Amino acid sequence: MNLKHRIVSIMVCGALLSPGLAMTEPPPPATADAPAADAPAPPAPDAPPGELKTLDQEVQGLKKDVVDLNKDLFVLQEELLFPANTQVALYISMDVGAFFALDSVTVKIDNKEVKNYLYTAREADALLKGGVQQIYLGNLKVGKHELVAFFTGKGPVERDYKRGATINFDKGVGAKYLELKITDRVPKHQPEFMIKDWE
Amino acid sequence: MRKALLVGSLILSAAIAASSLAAAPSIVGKEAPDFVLRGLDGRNLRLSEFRGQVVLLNFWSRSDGDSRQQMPALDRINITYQRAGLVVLGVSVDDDLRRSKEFAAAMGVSYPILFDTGTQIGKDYFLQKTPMTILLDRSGVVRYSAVGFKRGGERVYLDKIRELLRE
Amino acid sequence: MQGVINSLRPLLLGGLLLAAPFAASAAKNVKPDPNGLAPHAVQDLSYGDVLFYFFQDDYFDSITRLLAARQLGRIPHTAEEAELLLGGLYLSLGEHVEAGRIFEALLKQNTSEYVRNRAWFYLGKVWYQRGYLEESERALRQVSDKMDPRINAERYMLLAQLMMRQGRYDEAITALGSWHGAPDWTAYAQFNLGVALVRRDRLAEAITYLDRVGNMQTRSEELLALKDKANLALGFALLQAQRAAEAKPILQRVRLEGPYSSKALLGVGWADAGVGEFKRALVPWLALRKRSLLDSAVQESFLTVPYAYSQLSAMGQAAEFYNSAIQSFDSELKRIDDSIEGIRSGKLLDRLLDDDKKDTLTWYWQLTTVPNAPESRYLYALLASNEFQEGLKNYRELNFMSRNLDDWRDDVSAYDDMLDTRQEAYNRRVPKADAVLAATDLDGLTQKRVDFESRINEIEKSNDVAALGTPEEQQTWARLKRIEEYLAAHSDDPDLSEMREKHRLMKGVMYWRLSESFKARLWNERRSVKELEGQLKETQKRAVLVRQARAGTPLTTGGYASRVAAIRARIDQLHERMADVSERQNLFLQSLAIRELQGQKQRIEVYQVQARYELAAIYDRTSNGPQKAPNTAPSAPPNAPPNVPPSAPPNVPSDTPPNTAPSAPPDTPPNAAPNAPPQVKR
Repeated sequence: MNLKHRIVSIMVCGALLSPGLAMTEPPPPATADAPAADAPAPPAPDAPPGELKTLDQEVQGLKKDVVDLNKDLFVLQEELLFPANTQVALYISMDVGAFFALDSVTVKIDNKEVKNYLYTAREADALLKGGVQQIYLGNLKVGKHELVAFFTGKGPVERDYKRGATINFDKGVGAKYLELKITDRVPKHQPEFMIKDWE
Repeated sequence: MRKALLVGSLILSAAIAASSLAAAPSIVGKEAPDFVLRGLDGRNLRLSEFRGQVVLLNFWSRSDGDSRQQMPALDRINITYQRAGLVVLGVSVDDDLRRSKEFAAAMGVSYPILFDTGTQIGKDYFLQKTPMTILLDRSGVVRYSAVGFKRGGERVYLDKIRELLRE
Repeated sequence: MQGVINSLRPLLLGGLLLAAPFAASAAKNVKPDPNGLAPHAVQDLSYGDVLFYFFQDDYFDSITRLLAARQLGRIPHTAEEAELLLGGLYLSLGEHVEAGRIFEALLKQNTSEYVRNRAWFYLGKVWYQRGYLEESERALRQVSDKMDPRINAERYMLLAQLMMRQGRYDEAITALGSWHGAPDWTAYAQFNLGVALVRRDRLAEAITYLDRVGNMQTRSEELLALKDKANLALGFALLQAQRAAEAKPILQRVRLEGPYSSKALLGVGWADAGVGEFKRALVPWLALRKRSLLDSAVQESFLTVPYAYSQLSAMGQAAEFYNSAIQSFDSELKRIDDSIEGIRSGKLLDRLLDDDKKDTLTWYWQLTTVPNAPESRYLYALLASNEFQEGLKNYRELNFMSRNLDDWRDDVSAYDDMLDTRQEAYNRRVPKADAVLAATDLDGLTQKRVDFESRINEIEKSNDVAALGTPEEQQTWARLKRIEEYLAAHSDDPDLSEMREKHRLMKGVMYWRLSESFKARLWNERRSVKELEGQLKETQKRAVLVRQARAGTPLTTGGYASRVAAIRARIDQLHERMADVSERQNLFLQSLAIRELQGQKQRIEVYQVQARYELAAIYDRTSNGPQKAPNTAPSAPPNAPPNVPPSAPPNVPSDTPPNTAPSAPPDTPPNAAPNAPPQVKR
């Protein structure tokens, strides 16, 4: 990723990804507070006035924390998940209760196989532990696309599984990431593919 | 390995016949290209997961006699040096997967046999003729490469293996 | 006739039996049994070093190392055995006094019987060889009977021999009589016994023993020689006892091609003459006469032949033969004179030692080849004698040591140079060494490495992928952790659910990446540790070396310098002494040789005088007519004046004058047969 991209997405991603969050940028603590504040009571350098002050402080504190959190997440996004505008990122994750040995994952976009990944025992294990694999990073034109993915693996009684999932998505101007989660927390309690579109 | 590559390699070797072997591209000294393949036992193995160990990578084909003759020797090497940190991997490049698997199962060697039906790995490794035996050091760099096999030929590997294990 | 024989006695027996040595391979120089002097298990390395040279017969080196090791305190465990070995080594260099002192001191301590016995035995043996008979007996008597039969046999032989040499024949007889050893030794013992008995005039008994030996069946060259000797001795004893007829068949047992055949031929002739058969006597005597004049028996035959002719009244021939004898004797005398001159020139010993392999000193060295020089022919007998051999050995050893000193002198001057250089180097290096030693915190580093390694193992075991992340990755991971904590603290807050999801995703991706790189990074860390280890080892080694160098050099190299100077002075002194002693040894050996030759000369002169006398008598008779009776004119047949033993071997004390009970002196090693043809062998 180069600097230019970085700068662009700071502005764009911020807008796209943090609907519930107030700020796009981490505001400097003291000065920014004042203009945007809904909260009353500007902090006085001197001793705060009684209980009101305490609550105030608490709330201030809370906001600050949330802001920090936001900032951190944001930075992380940049570093970890960063796709460029035209790019599509696909992630594989797992959330299974019962034992499942993942063997392979195949991904087709618009009927063209873009990835066929074989998982070693170690890699499958990493997924089980909460690891998330960025299985594909590619460029797609703006518009509608179809993604078909299926996985194979072995269940506890050596039963071979093969399951798939399909999603049609719209590629906009910005980046797109999709999470393909293998999960068995579904009615049949057998591993299935679930696709989440991270708008 | 696809027939195309096989034919191609025949032509290539004919062309090479007159020229010196030094003209052939070599993988020695380079980091071994990573790959993942399915094994005879159904497990997938990825080459880079063996970092930290010395790897003997053997590309073979059921149809050539040298490959077949080599397998028991490699088996012995595996049994002897496994505990010292050696990993032996056999990669079958046959087109006929079923026959190849049958053969491998019959040989019953102690090391994993992987099956490559694609073309990329062969290209990555400049594979022209089987058997091809490669030694990787613990950092994943190719340190030795040999094509063909004669009875007793494994003695040459042994010295190299010991050297690499000592690193 | 009787008178003839009587007057022959001194010649016969003086010349022959007196000369006939004891058959005693007992005193033969046998290589010392290392098992007796050195134990098998070597506990001190330095002692092993000593043995190394010992087993290669390099006794000089061996002794040097032993003394050095002792001084430097390097053989704490093997002190006792080392003493024994030292004693043995001193013996090998002829330092019997020192050796004796060591053994006696040791034997006062608590050593095993096995070892003591051997120590005493060897001591006794060497003293015997050097002629210290009393000490030898004392030592030999210390040896217990419960020994290796071979050693026991030799011991008894030596004891008996000593006694015989001291004239204690009865004791010798008793000693030998009561002892029963191995068959070889038995033959020797019987021979010696027989001879001893003859000397005591106990002929009947002597005959039994000598006859037994004279009749034995054997193929061994040594025993065959012994057999001949026995027959010879018996034959002459009988002749002496006027039993000529019995003597003949016995003398005829002696091998014609053996070393004693000349004497036997002479004896046979006398046996015939003894019963008046002069014509028959001529047969062996004429045959004998054809042989080399060096042999005293042959010399005698030059006279006995004309004597026989004169007895047969063939005066013409007798005169002719006497004349011829005189002339032959003349030329021989001249040759001897020349040889004596040659010896006086001082080159004798060097010529003898020419072929010698000069670089070892051993216990059992003997001269084995005689150089091709004019005087050699006279000296065979001498050279075979113990006294000469020992003396020669001394001379040789002195030579060896002199060369050794020369080598050392060269080395020593090199040391001076070394010391100078070393002093300089030391002065330069001390401050550096001190600095390095101060700066090296090896223990700290080693501990770090250990800690590092166990940390890596921990990480591997627990698959702690985050631990191996890059600094950035670790920062990120920390941040994720913080977020996670916050989220956990506010788990009920529904607004945070989206964030929770996102966090899950991000942490997951981070984890996957860390996991992918884990194996490779793990190896990198391990490799770093290995490199570190290698470096640590190097540093350790160097630190040790530095410390050693620092400690090992004396603060004052001046100490070495003065030692070197002192040693050089000692070397020079020793060199001088050695040259002096060498010279004296040389002169001594020369005198031995010359004495030998003069002895031979005298014998020939005696014969010559005799011959002249007889010749004159014949001329007298023939010119004066047949009035004088044949048996008055020819006076004494060749005989030697009573007080000149024709050729006493210098090493055997001529304890009885020839015309009293002439007897065979004790037998010395088989190769010491003064009048026998050359048999200088081990």
